[in-house]
Amino acid sequence: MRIFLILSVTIASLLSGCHRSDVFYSDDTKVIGHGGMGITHDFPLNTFEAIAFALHKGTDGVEIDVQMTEDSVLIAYHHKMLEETMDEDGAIHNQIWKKIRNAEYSELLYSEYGLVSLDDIFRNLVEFKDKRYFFDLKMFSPDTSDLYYAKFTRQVFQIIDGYGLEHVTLEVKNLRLAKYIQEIRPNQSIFIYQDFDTALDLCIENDFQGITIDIDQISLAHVELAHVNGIKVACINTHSKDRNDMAFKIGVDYNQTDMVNYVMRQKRR
Amino acid sequence: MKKYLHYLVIVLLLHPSVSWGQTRDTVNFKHSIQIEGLGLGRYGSLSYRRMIKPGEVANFYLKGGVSMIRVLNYENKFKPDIIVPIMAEVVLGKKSHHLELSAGQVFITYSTFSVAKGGEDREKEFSPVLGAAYLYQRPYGRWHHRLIIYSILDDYELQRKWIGASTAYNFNFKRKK
Repeated sequence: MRIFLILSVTIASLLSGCHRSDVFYSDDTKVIGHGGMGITHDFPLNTFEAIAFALHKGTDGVEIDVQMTEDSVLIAYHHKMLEETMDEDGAIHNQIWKKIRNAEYSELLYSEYGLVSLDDIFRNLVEFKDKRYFFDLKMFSPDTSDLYYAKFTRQVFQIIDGYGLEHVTLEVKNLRLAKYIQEIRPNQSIFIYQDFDTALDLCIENDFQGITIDIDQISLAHVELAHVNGIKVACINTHSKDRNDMAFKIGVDYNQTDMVNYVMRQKRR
Repeated sequence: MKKYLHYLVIVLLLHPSVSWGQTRDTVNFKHSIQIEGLGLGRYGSLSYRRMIKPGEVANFYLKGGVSMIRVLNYENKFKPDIIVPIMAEVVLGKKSHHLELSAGQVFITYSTFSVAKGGEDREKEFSPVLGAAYLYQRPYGRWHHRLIIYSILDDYELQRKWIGASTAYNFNFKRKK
């Protein structure tokens, strides 16, 4: 009797955990895996495994954080310092790729996943070149010279062109960098990563294509205002079911979700 | 959080109502099945434990378990990651409160991507483990609950502290006299 009671309670609590959203998960909102599978999955962000898993799961694309080493190799990594998540120290921009290429994420018990370059990623994902990629350009280097921007941008375009990536959006916080990219490649999709009003003004003024913004900072009215002006909206920080529901409810163009499994389940319903 | 759990275990170990050193008629099932959360199986594991030597002061056990972190690899194919903890345990205490000390190895095999191979690779690792637990089990009770601290030398490289909590059901009610 007691076992039956415990089993009943367990099954009931498991079933109550299966969230059925009332929101329609429209195909108009594209599913972009944040750093691959997002922060709620145990493949660490920006690892090859996380990115490949998201694409194999059927997402419309993935977001990758991009940093550049001292010897101009583009690396997929989120944090400023390696020691925040890895078994190596220092900032990416001060490191030589050869020295850190064997670095491993130390967050997880038992499992070890490695740091990867963008070259490593796209060389091994050629079948997904038609997916959409958001490159979040992380400019942690104190070097803000035109020469540095030129070097960074050249490396990014080498990846895009070299692997024939068809849909790449560059996410930029810095207006000078955004203008520099636009100057050398006018058709490049650029999303501005600022508060909504600033980003909208910058997009209208400079012909940038979109805004990347926290889901907490936008509403249906914001999205409609952006669309009226021909500006697309990508939302971030959708790390709960409610936040993902909200992204689809207000109709953002791209949901950079941290809950790929949940969103893909809702889309299949 | 971990810091406070360390304190909790120390308080429980030193609490005056808990006295170690007698096991008669308490934790003496020959076989038990345990379901553990946040323990050596990372998220959860299923273990079989067998008593190998009952004693006046302590009971000795061997335990083997299995856990799967995930069943699909990065290509969304069925290639499970498997964790197998194998532990030797000694349990001291009387009535409902017990101290459990353990030592053993955890074996894990998991799917990963190898840049050098340009494809899937399967990592195999061993990690030695030492553990201490507060164990609550009422005399003759089939259920028991544990609060555990493990010290794990992950792949013989990285020292980790790990906190676990488990609930187990004991079957095959064979009390040793």
